[in-house]
Amino acid sequence: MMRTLLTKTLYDKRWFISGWSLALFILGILIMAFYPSIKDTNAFEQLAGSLPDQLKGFVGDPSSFASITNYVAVQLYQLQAPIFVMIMALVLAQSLTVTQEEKGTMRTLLTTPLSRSQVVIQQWFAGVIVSIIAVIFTALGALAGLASVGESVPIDFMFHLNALLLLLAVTAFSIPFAIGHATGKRAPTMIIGVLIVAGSYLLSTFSQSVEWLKSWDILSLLHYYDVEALSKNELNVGGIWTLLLLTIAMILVAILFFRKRDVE
Amino acid sequence: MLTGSLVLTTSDNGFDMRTIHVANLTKQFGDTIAVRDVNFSINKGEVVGFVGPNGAGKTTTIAMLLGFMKPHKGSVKLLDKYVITPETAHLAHKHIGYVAGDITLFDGMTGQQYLQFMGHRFGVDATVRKRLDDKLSPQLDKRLKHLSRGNKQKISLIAALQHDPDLIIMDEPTSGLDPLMQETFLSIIREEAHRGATVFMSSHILSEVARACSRIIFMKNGRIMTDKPLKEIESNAGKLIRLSGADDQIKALLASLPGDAKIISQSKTHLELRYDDVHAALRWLNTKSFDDISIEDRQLDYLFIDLYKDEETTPA
Repeated sequence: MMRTLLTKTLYDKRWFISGWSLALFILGILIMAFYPSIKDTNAFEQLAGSLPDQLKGFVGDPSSFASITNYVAVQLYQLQAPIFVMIMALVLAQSLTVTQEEKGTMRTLLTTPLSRSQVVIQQWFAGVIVSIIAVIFTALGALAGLASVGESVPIDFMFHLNALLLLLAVTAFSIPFAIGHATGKRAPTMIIGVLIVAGSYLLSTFSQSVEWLKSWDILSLLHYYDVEALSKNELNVGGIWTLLLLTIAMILVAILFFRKRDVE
Repeated sequence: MLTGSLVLTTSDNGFDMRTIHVANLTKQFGDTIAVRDVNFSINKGEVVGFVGPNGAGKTTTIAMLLGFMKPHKGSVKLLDKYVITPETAHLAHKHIGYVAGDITLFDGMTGQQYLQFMGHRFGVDATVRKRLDDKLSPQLDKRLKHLSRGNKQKISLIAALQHDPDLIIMDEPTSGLDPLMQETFLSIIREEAHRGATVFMSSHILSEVARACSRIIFMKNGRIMTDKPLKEIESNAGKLIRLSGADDQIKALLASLPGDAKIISQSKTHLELRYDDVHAALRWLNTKSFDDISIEDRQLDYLFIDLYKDEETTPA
């Protein structure tokens, strides 16, 4: 178990993984359990109708209740799960980078014959594995919730939703991870990380109904996480490439800067 | 005279490989120059003490030796082969054991897990590990965060030495340890030196350095103040002369005090002097009157204090 930095990191994060996996599993169950009680009423439409246009993005499209596949896509994978996994990714990225440096364990790690590039790569893979586990538990929660209310969705649709959620989680992890390794400072890592999570959420939500914000939506990570396209059996290839390239760029930033800088 | 000192020099062991070679090393933090133009070399098998007050630049120098930090100027070469930078330091780390008094272990692990992890990184020889375990008897089954400082230090030392390193770098390794543990640490350092390892140990516990090292490098304000074999430092320490007598005798002594004598302390009936040349001191005292006298070697600790206080000392 303790042979590599990758396995050591996963062992260190076992409680973190357990906690977040459980939270995402419960989230999946609860959102699905909500479906039968609301699908046959128009209460949700009334609620959405009573809100000003600028706030409608917070509750999602009322038409999503028309079918279970749309409901799963919009209510779980478009609204709730991305926020959870992005927060998880930010916390994880900080704990693997600046927290380790502040505690002094990064120096302990660097006394071994492990290159700095290897440290970055193995920690990044650990972050990817944590993201995979979190997404699997989100899916399991959703499937368990669907089964409990006697509904189901096509398995390939679920696969695509979860693959996209995983890509978002990995990108959301890679950005603060890169800043943490590149700077070793908590402030920029935290500020940029929170800007990405909260900024993406608010920007994508308000830009749905605020005209002048629409052009700014390209700055939101959620702009490239196109669940709506998946609901229409389409794939936003440009969005997927953007997330992939951003992730690769962040890994390179982490390696290039961490290789050269002082570790306090 | 200090007993139990380990005296291994280049000529003793026949090696002339420079295990540590530091050239013009300089490190600056903002406007503060933490290390300025530091030069020294340490040959294979030497046990060298790196001494200085807090803020002298010892830890920053060690951070550059290990590649944690990059120098603004100058270079570090280890084991006659590895030029150390943050990018390349890991290549040398396979041959280095590092122990620090304030090192942070991975607290979520047990001692056993920690040593396993570090051992795998170094491709460890299990027999060395067992020998150290037997000698230090650390608690290995508890999580590191629940262990005492002494136990953590034992585990840290085993982790640093379990791969039989050619170079051992220690930064205040015994700080906060009880005297018994300090002695155990020092005896292990001596064993490692006998094995042929080079030891570079920073400390502000001066007696500890003197008990373990054959050469001392003094650092102050980021500069090397002096770099000499311990024997030479001891032989140049001078004598401490304590005189007692009546008030007028002490006054007469003070009135005729030679220029190279330094007053350490004085009262109406006592006078304590530092005198480097004992023969000259005896010639002077032969003409004076006093009730009692004692002459002894100056303790190393006083030498260090002199050095730190002496603002006008010329850097080496």
